[in-house]
This record gives sequence, C-alpha cells and structure tokens, in this order.
Amino acid sequence: MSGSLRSTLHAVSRDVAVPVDLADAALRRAGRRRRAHVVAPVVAMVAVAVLVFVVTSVFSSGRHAVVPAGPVSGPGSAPSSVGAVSDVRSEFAAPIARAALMYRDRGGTPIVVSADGDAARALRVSSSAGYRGDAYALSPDGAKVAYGWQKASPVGGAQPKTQLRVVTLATGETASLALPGIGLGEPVESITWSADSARLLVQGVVTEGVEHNGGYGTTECFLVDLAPSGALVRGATVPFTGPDVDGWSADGERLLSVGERDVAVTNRSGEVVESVKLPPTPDAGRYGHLFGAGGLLWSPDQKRVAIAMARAAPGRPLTTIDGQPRPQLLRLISLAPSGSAGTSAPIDVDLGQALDAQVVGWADNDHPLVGVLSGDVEQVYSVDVRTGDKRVVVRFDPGVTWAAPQLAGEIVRAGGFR
Amino acid sequence: MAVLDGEAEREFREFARAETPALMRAAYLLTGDSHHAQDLVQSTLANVALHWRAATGHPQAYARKSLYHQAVSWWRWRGRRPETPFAVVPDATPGDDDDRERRLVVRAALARLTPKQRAVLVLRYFEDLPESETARLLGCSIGTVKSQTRHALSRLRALAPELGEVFDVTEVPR
Repeated sequence: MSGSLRSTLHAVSRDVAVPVDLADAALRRAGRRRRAHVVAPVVAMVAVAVLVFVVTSVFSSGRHAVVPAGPVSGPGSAPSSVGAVSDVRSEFAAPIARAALMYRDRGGTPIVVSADGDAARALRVSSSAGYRGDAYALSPDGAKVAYGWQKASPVGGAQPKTQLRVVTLATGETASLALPGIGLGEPVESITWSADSARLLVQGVVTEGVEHNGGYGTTECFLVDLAPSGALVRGATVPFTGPDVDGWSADGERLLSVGERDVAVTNRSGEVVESVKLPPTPDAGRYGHLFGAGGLLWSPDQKRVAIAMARAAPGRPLTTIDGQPRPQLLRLISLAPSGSAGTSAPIDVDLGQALDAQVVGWADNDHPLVGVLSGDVEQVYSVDVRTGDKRVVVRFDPGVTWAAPQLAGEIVRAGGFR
Repeated sequence: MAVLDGEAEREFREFARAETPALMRAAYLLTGDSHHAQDLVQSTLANVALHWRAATGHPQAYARKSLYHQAVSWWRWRGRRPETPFAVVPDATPGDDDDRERRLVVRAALARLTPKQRAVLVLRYFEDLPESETARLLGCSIGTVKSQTRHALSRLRALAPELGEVFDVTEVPR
C-alpha cells in the first residue's frame, strides 16, 4: 500500500454518497430554529430561574458529593453522588489550592474536586438545548470557576447572547458580564486567569467580522478585572497580531503576546510597552513570517522571557510538523523592568535536531526548562542562561509524551529539582 | 415564516447545490459516517441560511467555519460520537484491493482520534490549509494545531503501523 496522507484522505472522502440537494432540508431546519427563537425568551426566563435555583441549592446547602481520598487528578476516581467520574474529558489543575476542575463528556457537567477536602462538587450549568457553557477555567487559588455561557443556535442573523460568568465556589454566587458580539461556534475561545486570581484574559470570535474580514470573524482578546465588589469589569482590548496570547506575568500586570513577526509585552491598559522583532524565516516569501514558537514563559523575576522555536534552515519549512526533525533553539530575551523600555540582544541556545520543543517552566531565575521531543522520547533540559549549558533533568519514556510538559510543570512547582 | 425570500432564497439554493459535495466530503472525514455527515452539512447550511445576509460575499468561508466548529463542539456537547459501521462501507468505489483496504484502515483510525485532532488533520491535509489558517478557523493557537497534529499523526501511526508511509508526512501543506 502506498500513497500520501493527503491523497488517502481525498480517496476516503470520495466514499461518501453526495446528496443532490440539501437546500430544502436545510431551510426547513433553519425555519424550526427560527420558530424556536420566537419562544426562546420565555424558555430562557424559566431556564435561568431553574439554573439559579439549582446552583444556589447545590452550593448553599453543603450537599457536596464526597469521593474517597486519592490523587486529585485521577480521572478514574471512585463514584460519587454526582456520578462516576470515569468519563471525565478534561481537567485543569489549580496548583495553589490543589483543586482540579473536570468536565464530563456527556452533559458537560463540570465537577470541581478539591484535594484538601476530598470533596467533589458539581458545578451545574445547564447544557440542555439552547444554553451551554464552555472554556471552564478554575482560578489558581481554587476559589472560582470562570466560563463562557451562551444561548446557543443564534438565529435570524442576530448575534448570540454570550456572557462571561464567574462562580465563587464557596458561596455559589455568580457574577456575569455580557459580551455583545462575541461568540461563533463556542461562547468564548479561551479564558486564562492571572496568577493572583484577580484578572482574566478572554478570547472570543467577533461574529460581525464575517461581513468585512474575509468571512472568518475576528478573534478579540481582552482583559476582565474582578472588582472588590465581585462585579466583572471589562478592561482593555489586548492588541495582538497572531492567535497566541500567553504568559501572564506573576504580578498580573503584564502579558506576553506572540505574533507572526514579534513578541509583544502588553500592560493592563492594553498598550504594547515592548516589542521584540523576530527574524524572518527562509519561508517568509511562501508562508509569511510564521515561525514555530513552542510556548513562551516569563522567568519568576519577570526579567526574562524564554521561547522555544525552530531554527531557520535554508529550504526547510518551519511551519509544519512533517515527521522530520529540524534544528531547534531556545531564545532568551531580557526585558527591561516594568515601565521602562528596551531589551538587550537575545541569547540563542542550540537544542539540536528535534521534532518539537516547548518551554515548560523555570527552575529559578537563571534556569528555564525546555521539553524537547526527539522521536518518541521527550526530555526536559535545564538551561543555564549565563553559559548556555544544558543538562537533562527529566526524561520521559515513549508513550507519555502527551503529558510531559504538564508533568514537568508540576515537578517544577513542587520544587523537584534545580 | 420563510427564512429567506425571493432572490435570497434562490441565491442560497444555488450556493447549497454548489457547495454540498465539498462540505459532504469534509464532513464525512470529520464524522466517519455518511448519515452523521449529512446531518452536519444540513445543520451547517441551516446556519448559513439563517445568517445569509451577514455572510453575503463570504458564504463559503462562513459555511466552512460553521462546519468545523460544529464538528468539534457539537459532537462533544450532544454526547454523540461518530461510529465506523464497516458493514456498510460502500465497496463499489473505484480502486484496487490495496486502495480499498487503505481507505478502510485510515477511516477506522481517524474514528479513533478526538474530534479536534480529526478537524486539524482534515484542515491541514485535506483542505491544505497552513497552520495559521487552521488555528484561525478552529479558534485555537498555532501551538495547539502543532501539538494536535503531532499527536494525531503519532496516534495514527500506532493504530495503523502498516500504513507507516502514509502517516510519515513529508508534504508541506500550503
């Protein structure tokens, strides 16, 4: 058997019988959705009332399901009254509070598990037709859960009604912030908490962009503050040139944003306070200035940024995983203190030939940790920023590469090595 | 209550007729089943009809985004998973036995991937989109596209080692 993946996929796709005309069926379905939209306000009021009642009763009555003590992130934990958690789809750890947020495949009911209290608490968000939550994110202090909420199936050309919601787990109080214009396919794309659990970075697609931005909508990225009163306050829109916005600084005051041509540091007002140009790649003419950046992270003292990226090599594409190793490097950028401008020349550390490289953490202010995937083996190096020397600190066997960056991050947070 | 009137309905019908084959083929790769694929395309076209005015000028792009977003989130939220009913795989399609066997194996292997991994592979190697466009369409980062691609290909290699050369991707999508 021979053939490329592309030609094989095209061959498989031709196995399906193509109906002559689906327009009638689609228009009938659209009509049903529009009719449903007419009664939606009444249904919405009832559903919201039920939702408020359920959430309030769950969190105020203390009737939290109990699971036996055990590893917080173990997806195979014992059953609780909220149902077996063996079908957990995702989990997001809050390292400070030793809590994990999981949500289940069927019904999408999120479950918060606390390692300290060994208690599983079901955060009930209606996932019935018409309403849904997504992008659940547990705050680093484990006290709150943020998620995007949307009245689904927007009809009649109207924008979907989307909200950002933040639930305080101890009391069940929910704060919400309307996000007009946001939401296409999913309520919001992603929610990221700052390390101090005081701010959120929210990304979502603005559907109005369909009319004037090549048809895809535009991704908007903005900050949300949690006011002392508990209200959510929409802050500045963060300008960025690419799809990745990462890296809250430890004090929650600055953000790192990687675009196609530069790395930008943004303050809380959304102003770019520093921009570091990235060199064009040999593929620039064909692919633009894309580069294969594999994560970027602040050092704990917020003076440096580490970025792993594929090294430019003549005739070699940087922008695709083609199963072939390519030269990787770790780029270290020294940033001026907050409020002043300027950077020194970046330092590049050769990581050798590998399929991929990602920064997974910092052991201390002088030693970034970078995971390097070669074949089926992933190793984590500790790199000395002064000498460029690197040494292997963790080696993952084949088969666990999926979790390697997360595991390495956990080891770092636990102070496992220097 | 008509969703579209007069000229708009005529334009939509024309659009649906022209785009259905391409949408069905992508949907088939995403769902692994012709019935689910038809359901997905119907739903996508219904979305386009409901937003026909907003999508004017870019209905193809709107349909594509709607299709892939639904393929990733729709199945998850409704607890529906594509199945691979081998018994009904059409055997009248052209090609020799090797080709047919390869298609079956690839289809079965694709069904074992997560919806997002499948979407990333289809966008990159069926639709020939670069990573940046794939990321923009799915609303995720380029890093996510890279890691999902890597893990998807790695899993396909493990699931179908006999097709190693198919999954040793050396071509460069535009």
